[in-house]
Amino acid sequence: MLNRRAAHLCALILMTVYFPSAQDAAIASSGVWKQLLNGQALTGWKHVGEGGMKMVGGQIRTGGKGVWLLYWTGGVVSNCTIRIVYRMSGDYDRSGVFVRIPIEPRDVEMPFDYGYQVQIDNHPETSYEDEYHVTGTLYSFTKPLAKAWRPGSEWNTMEIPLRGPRTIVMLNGVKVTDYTEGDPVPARKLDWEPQRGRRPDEGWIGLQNVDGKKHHVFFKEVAIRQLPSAKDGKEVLHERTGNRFK
Amino acid sequence: MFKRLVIQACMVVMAIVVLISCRQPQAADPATGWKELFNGKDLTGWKFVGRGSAEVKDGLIQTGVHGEGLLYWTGGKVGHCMIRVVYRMQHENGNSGVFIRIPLEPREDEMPVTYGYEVQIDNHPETSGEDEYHSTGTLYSLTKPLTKAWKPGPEWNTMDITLNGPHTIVVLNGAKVTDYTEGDSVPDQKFDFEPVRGPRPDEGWIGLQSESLKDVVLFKQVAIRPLSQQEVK
Repeated sequence: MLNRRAAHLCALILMTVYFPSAQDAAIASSGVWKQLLNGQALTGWKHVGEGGMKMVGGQIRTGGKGVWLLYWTGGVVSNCTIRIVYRMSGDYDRSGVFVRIPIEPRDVEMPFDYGYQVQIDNHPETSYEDEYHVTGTLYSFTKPLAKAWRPGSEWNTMEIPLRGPRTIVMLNGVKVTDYTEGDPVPARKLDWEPQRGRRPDEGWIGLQNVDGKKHHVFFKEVAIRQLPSAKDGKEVLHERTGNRFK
Repeated sequence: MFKRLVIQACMVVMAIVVLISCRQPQAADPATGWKELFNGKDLTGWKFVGRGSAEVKDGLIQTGVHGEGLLYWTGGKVGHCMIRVVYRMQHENGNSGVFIRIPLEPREDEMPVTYGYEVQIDNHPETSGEDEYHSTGTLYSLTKPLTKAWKPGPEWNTMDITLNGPHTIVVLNGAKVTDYTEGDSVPDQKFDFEPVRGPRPDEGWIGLQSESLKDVVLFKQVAIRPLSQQEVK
């Protein structure tokens, strides 16, 4: 009894340390989708790298010179599902969704080597890459479980549940990736592939731009929702440092 | 009853704080507190990332002989400590650096540049078109040296780097070259190869830079000791 009360007290103390406000915790545990794009401006997002993105009719359009990353400034997330609705502008365009970035990005390299890129590229063979580099894979790490992408300008819905060390990618309702930290991965085949090694359970998220002169991808929705607890069906509260779903 | 609860809670919190902050090496000299990170024989406890490699020859770590990269200490993050590095250049000048405050365990040699600090070792930055913000003892490209304290190759130099929370001090051969606290103003990036600006963590991984065959730097000692309570104040 004493121990339990002491534990509760400790939990309370830790919560006041970690959680910016009780309201944040309430929102994060409510299980509803939180929209991260407001349809007008890129509030809550920050750009690093070359080039730039555009807001076109309430959607993000990748483009501009070089490689860049647009990351969500809300902080690290975990035990949640990220939902992205996107389409290509033509037959062949490339982008990616970054997850599990361990620290706040200042450049485009670190997210690549220390986080995962959920790839958006329906024709990796065009750049001499194999199926480990196709839409819905953890770029260069995982083999797709199915081909689920829709071509050209059709909309695609990608859902990425992140539960602890497990990463799932559902594309248009079909599971393409189911990877748990520690599962075997192939050695690096190409110079530009990311470094191997464990990714953190919680991380920053972002959208990638690849060589925007050629490739334009439209994002009309980026949303996030807390996962229910695996144990008792209740919503998961922040388990470690704060998921600040403000 | 309530008092006991509070005491228990405080003890748990203190234990957590101690676990987080006191990640100092274990086997230190009880008299001085110094722990040698280089055993004088091989690179046990060190790992190289990047294209090249480092080697130990005649009891010295040689950087630069096998190409670019970073030799980092695998013992984990350090902070609230003093790091002592004794080095010399193979020739009259050389180029290396001591990396500190690296936030993640390195897998390659770019992240440490962008997210940590390099305490520079290069007596003649002007030969590569760089100014004094890039000379020995500075936080590379970020701080102006308070004095010129380096000895030319092949003389030995002793560099003491104090990491006290957000405060970084570099003393070279007994003279203070750098005294920087997170948040102090720094110049804008002059070259695109300079590190991105922004705060560095209070604790981080550390390593030695390997530059090139014409910039060989030899290290005789890399040691660490925790700061005393007086020093922390």
